[in-house]
Amino acid sequence: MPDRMILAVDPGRCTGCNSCMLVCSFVHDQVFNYERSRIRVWRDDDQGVFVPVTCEQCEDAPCVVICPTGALTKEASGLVARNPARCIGCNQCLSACPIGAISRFGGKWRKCDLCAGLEGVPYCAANCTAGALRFIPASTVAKEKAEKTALRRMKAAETGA
Amino acid sequence: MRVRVRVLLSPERVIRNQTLELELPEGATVREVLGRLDLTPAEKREFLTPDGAGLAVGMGVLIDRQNVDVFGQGLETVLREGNTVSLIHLLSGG
Amino acid sequence: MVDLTRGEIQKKALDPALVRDWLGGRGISVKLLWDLTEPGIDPLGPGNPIIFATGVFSGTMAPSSGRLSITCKSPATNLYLKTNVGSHFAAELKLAGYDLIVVTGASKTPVYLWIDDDKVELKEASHLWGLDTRQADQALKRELGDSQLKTLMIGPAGENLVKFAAVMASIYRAAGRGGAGAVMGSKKLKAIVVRGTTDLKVADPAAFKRSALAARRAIREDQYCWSRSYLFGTAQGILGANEGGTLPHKNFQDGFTPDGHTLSGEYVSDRYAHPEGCSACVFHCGRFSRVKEGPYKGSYTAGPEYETLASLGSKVGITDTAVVIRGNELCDILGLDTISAGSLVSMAMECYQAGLISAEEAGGLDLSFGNAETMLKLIEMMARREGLGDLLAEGAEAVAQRLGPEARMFAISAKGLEQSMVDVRGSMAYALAFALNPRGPDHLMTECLATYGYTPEVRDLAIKMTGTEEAVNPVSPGGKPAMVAWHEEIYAVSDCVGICAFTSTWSYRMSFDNVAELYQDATGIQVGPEELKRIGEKIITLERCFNLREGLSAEQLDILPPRMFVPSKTIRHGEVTLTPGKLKAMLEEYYGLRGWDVKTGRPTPEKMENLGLGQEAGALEG
Repeated sequence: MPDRMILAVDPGRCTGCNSCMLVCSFVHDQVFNYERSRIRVWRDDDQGVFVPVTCEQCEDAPCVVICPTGALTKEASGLVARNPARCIGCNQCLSACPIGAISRFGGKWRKCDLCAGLEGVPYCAANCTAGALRFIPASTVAKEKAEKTALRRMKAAETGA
Repeated sequence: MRVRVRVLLSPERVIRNQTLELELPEGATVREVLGRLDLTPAEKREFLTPDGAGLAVGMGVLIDRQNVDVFGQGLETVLREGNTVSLIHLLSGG
Repeated sequence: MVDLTRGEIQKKALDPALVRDWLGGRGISVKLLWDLTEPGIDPLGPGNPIIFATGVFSGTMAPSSGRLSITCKSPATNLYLKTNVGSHFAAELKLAGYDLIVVTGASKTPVYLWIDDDKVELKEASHLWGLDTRQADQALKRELGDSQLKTLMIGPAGENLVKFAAVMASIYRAAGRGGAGAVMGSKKLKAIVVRGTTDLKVADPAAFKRSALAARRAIREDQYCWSRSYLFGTAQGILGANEGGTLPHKNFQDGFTPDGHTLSGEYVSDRYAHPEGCSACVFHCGRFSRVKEGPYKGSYTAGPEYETLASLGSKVGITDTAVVIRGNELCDILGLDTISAGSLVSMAMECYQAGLISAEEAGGLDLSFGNAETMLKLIEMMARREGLGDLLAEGAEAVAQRLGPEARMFAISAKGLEQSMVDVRGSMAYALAFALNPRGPDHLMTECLATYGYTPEVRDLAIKMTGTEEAVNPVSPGGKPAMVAWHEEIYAVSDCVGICAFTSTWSYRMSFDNVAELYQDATGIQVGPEELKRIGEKIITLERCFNLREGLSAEQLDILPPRMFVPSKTIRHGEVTLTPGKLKAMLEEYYGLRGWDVKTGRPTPEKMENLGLGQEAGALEG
């Protein structure tokens, strides 16, 4: 399988600034409205925890399986694409998605389309300066984590901890 | 002469409150102090100019709480016995 | 428009003339405050309006645009108050479809305002009265059935009319200065809660997309400022200030705290804090801290900011950050300004040291500098007005009045507001700015960071705006009047459009130029950079006139706490850096720059006419 480019979400780095929601809403619909955003940041203001939730472009996407008209398709690029022309609005994708990444607002259905924003990077990731959203090769995610783990263990070994 | 140097550059050094006691010849300047620091290659890249002779943008030097750029001759400021030299990130200091 | 006396809510379209003449946010608010009040009204009475204003850019992707301005007459100073807070309330309010909320009158029983897009109602809040901000936030989200609501509320301190009670956004973010929380408390307005799901449009989407994204990029490209603020928050300034001998120590007795490195941004971020960001922010200078071990294990809150690390730390002789975090947590949930709270604690400590407060009056508390438990206890006592806390809750100058003339030196306060954590003896720009600030001695009307020339660009900007290299010599008065005037204007404009002052000061990446461009793209209204500057000046002028209309003279207004004229041994080796004469000279130069009467410090009628304040000039002279 090719090493796909994915929109990697790291909630640990999310600062809850909502820039992604505002930018997503605007670049798609030319207005600002959290409800129109295809990425939602959920916040626990008391605990200072913020979690972005968006389409993960599943390999075996339940929404693609359930869609009766083929309006949702898995592309070669990795994108789970939505074709509005084929959509009959049966709402099954809303329930099929285990993440809650397909939303419905104002008579329209929305999911992340991995917009080719600035220099091919989706707008949300391009505007996330906290590093919570990054458009990177899928293999990078595990590699980075593993390297961090290794460095931590190496440091501990050096100091004899 | 004896000079104290507070190397408050990287987070690790700040957390350690790193303070060195340096023995320097009379007439030594701030520039000589920079040459005596045990910075890692990564720190040199971050805190010094590429030629290693000066401080990168945003870094500053205080001698006994006075910013050497405002109250001295920058890196050419001559040190005196007992001075405390603080290497810091500039903003509201000195 | 919310009239709490009558319990009536009225929705009105924003008068285009107000927008044309005053830009938005803080600008419109000062004009409304002027029109809605008369001199001498009681700040804690029903005649004091409180105006909550979004910025023009709030709710958009303009960088760091989430700021809310709150304007009223201050119960601490009896003068003009503008206080400001970040997080997401302003954005959500704008997305609900509103630019401003003007609250007048007072309710007999506790209420809260619930704004759900076009549905706006006053609801019963007796069951919330007495709750801390954490408890009330949770209760409101539960009863309204939405965990994602944005809340703005007071804690017990506001309910108890503490003179430095804050208005808290999303539990922990404070519109702290000047006692706006007490104004809400006097109106029995416990909270405003908002949910916004309407479409926020801009005039020219294509142009706005270009200019807003470019502005975001420009800020991110300022690697020095961006990385310092992202990695360490506002605390990034603590260490440099301490090394430079200007970090307030023991009630501003001097400016160096031994082992002060444990209060540094580097230390705090390593041990306790992770970043947080306000609406559409690029910097994420906010912090969220958690104490995981030791006697204060379990404490958590947003912060601590530079001001809090100094106020509840170095200024009271405490270097244990865990204590500062616990103190910060208490201030946040009780709804207290950390700057003033710490100032009252350090004042009490110095008064005790000087024998002006007896052990008995202290209720058995050991009021020595450095006593952490004492500080934490005093915070609660002030919020609840218990024991000595009841006197302290009145503010530093009230305490001085009770304790006698010797105590006045220990009140680091002027006009009724406690000074923020900059030792102005080390910085003439700040000394002048603090004296001129209409709400009292703090940096949040100016933030003249350029005087520190920390990068070549900032240094060049400082020299360009003042015409002299003396601008970057902090203890020289050279160029400082021009520097203060420039900063007053950019700050006022920032508060009109709702952007964070760190974009327009600190990094200086938002300027009159790109704000003008964004303003036009967003609103369709063409306002050039020079016009923006002029409106900034107009706002500053009317704010000053509000205070003059209250009957004070320039001599009474443009002042600093007395201790600022006593040398600090850690600044310039104890030389005298600031004298009343030196301040007066800077003030006179400033008055001249502004075109005011240099002898009286009053804007002349001609100048006011020139600025479009002819009507207001008449009211002032009459």
